[in-house]
Amino acid sequence: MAMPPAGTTTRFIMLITLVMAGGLFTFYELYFLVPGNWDHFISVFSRCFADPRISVPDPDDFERARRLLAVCQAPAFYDKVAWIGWGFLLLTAVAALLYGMHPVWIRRRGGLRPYVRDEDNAEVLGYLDALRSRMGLARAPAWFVAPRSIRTGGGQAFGLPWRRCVRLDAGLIMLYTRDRALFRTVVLHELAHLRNRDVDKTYLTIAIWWSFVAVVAVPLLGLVGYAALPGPTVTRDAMWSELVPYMVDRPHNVGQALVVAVLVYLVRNAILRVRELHADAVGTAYDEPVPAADPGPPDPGPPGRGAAVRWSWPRFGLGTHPAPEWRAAVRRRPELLWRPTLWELAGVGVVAGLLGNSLDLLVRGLFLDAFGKLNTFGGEAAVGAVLGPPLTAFLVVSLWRAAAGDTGHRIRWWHCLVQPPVLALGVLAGLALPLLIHSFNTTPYALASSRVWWGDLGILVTAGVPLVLGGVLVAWWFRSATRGTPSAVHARWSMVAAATAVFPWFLAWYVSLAADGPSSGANPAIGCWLGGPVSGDPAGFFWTLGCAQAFPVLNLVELNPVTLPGLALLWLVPSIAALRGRAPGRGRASWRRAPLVGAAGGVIVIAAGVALPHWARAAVPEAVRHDLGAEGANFDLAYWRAYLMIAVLAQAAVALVTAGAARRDRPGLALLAASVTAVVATAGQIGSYTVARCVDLMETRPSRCLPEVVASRLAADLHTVTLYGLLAVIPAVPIGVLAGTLWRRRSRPPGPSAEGQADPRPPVPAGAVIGCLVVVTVTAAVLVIPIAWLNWARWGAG
Amino acid sequence: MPGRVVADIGHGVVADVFPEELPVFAAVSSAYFDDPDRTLSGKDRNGGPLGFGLVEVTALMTPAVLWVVQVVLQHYTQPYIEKGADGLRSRAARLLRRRGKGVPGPDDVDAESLRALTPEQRAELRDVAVDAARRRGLSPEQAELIAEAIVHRIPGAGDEQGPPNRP
Repeated sequence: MAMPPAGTTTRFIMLITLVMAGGLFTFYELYFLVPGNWDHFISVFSRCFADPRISVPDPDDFERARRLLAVCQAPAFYDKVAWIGWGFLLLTAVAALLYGMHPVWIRRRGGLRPYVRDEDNAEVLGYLDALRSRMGLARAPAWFVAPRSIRTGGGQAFGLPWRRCVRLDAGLIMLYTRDRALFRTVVLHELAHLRNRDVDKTYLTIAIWWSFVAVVAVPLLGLVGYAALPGPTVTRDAMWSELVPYMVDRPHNVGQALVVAVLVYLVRNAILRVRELHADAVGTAYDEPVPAADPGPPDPGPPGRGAAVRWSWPRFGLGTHPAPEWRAAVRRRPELLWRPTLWELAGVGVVAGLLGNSLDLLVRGLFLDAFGKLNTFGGEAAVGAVLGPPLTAFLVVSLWRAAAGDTGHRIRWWHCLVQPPVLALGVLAGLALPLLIHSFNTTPYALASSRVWWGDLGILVTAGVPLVLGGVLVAWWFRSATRGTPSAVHARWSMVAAATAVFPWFLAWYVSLAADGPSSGANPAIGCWLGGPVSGDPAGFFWTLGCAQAFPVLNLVELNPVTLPGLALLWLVPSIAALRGRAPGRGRASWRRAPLVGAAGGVIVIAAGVALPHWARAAVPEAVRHDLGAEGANFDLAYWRAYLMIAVLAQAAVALVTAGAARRDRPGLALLAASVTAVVATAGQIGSYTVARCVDLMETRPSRCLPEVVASRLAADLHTVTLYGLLAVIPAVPIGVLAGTLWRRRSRPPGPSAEGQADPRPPVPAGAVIGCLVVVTVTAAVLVIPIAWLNWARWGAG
Repeated sequence: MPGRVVADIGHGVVADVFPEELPVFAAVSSAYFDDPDRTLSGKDRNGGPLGFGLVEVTALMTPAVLWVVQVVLQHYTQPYIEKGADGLRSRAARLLRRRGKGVPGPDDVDAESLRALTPEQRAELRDVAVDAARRRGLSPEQAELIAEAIVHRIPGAGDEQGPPNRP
């Protein structure tokens, strides 16, 4: 089985992200604690408001005053951005310097001596070189002796890329004679660090930590203390000491920086621990086999399902080295290395949340100060777009690692149910951190906003439901798409597919956190039932789809050029794997059948769409049908929603039938079938509206009985039909799975799977159907770009 | 070269008594002459990043051996310097090389000059060695072995006994 990315990669990215989040937040907030910055900021705004066109705007042209103010105040924002940039440059430079100096530091601190060849050590050096060769290292490291380490038998790998070094304790060299096996284990462990390329990651990690302390934490404390000095000491501006509490939330800053510092430290140690375990595993692989009589320490990880995801605080500890019993277990069962821990999942979530907070600060400043826009969701949308795909990719990698660490190399169902909620809880905790710190804050800034923070926290809690649900769906899809045993290629493509598909949804979810009222993520269930019948519709048939109004943020998904390609990837990746696979029983028949089922569903929609005008003409009074300009919903809109509802129900039915009939790849198959239905139904609305015109359903005068085709309108409609269809497909699939399972159990005894038998000759080549669908999807995505652009401009206008 | 005689005698003692420490003798003796107290304490911090972790082993004897050798040679040279004793004064004057205005120490002893020690003097040095080794916390057996090896390694006496063997 191909191995997934190691936990180190995740943790290292987490560390960098955390430092970025903490640094960004701190540098941004500390800007005003430097008197020079403060003076510059005040001078810019004083100059701006000295302009009467800004300070006394024309009541008929506020927009002009807003534009002028934006242009005038932009230098203040860019000065702040430059300040942040210099902060990160310094952070990077200090980290690079510390990393570059680490060999000198280690040599000086340990009083290391080069282990040069003489008549006494020729044999040992020869043996060391043999071990190096066995480990597969082409280039020999420089060996050093720690002569004062006479009571320990350890080693240490270090050095820069062009000169790797290994430190050997004096006590270790003595073990060459006294305990050759232990000597070999330690040396192979250190050589494994070189083979695993751990040195750079590890010492960069240490360097980043110290750089964070030196450039972020210490200056923060220093400047906070400095700002507490009497005003004249700090700046000429007499107002500074009075205004700065409103500009800089100092207790909040210190609290958040402390939390980030603790997290950075914990992540740093987590990186060091996992590298030790990897080196143990590799070192053991190249070592001589342990005698069977040596049982070794007890195995800490039960091999069964319960051990696949661990809360393993006591075992792992929080230090730089893992617990001995855990190391012993990994030596015997290296697959344990791949198992993700729930702490890691939660930690990644917290880091993502913190990064979201920090980026929010920056982009809000960008929109407010540089673009002069108030009440815009553009910033949140940008941050949501940045956070969603990496979080999804991490979840997929985590599931992949869970499979690699599983005794059967499978993704178990409980992985899909446990990992997403933990990750989501971490995200929510990270997002909520500023709110929690505010609750302990007594500054005027915090007191002014204390009325709302409980409400913000409430939104986070309720918004967690769709986040968890989305995560579980992604996990379930990944498990299905990879048949539970992901290969490297398959897993990577699945990761791309999932990240692309989640992109618009996470973006909308993130925006909903900042939105109030019905657009908030806190009100999903209520909104769907708020829709009522169209005014004047006595039959009550043409109900509005209330969700459309209750979830304005869904508009960001509906008119998004990534939405359809993302969904298409969700069925394309598993379908290619199934259709190109040569092994029997890969379910090719299901993938050939699904488009046909979908097409049948689409044909039913077309038939219903043709019948709909006649039925509406009979059921709805003419006055209502011709009410095209009244306030609120008019009949044209109601007619479209009725057609949309038919298409949605058809997609749900198709998904239900497909999922119920299949035994594997159910989410992908259901999505494929529903996508075909959506495409056919969207095309079918041309016929429905043509018939409606033929029978004068809405028009007050006879119209031409000809179809009207506007490509961009069709593309947008396909997005709408697919989006709302998906909302129905999601619950339909598990219902179909359940119904199919029950039906198979009752109707016939278990026999060989139909998918394991020879595939019947398909009436239509599956590849051709899928290819056509891909073309339609891409075309629709391209055609919807202009409409989406207008939509985005509306959301970003403020 | 500072400590050359101590290092030479110490190397021989380690070869006789603790041969497994020979591959690291050069580095440890070098560190010992740079900072004897720190090397003897063996309390250097280790277990840093990418270290194997704490593997405790029986402490190396090389620093202790060098220290005992140094004490023995100091004991040998000290009377000549402090008391200016007759008889041996002229011999000590030949044996010791003065460097500048400093007081001669064991590092200044020329191995060639040790050839003419009497059996009584060698026995005295042996007792000094045992006492010094015991003060460093070595077991009686180890102290005896080290003392025997030191006396053996001083040229001119004990040749007939050969080097001591470890129990």
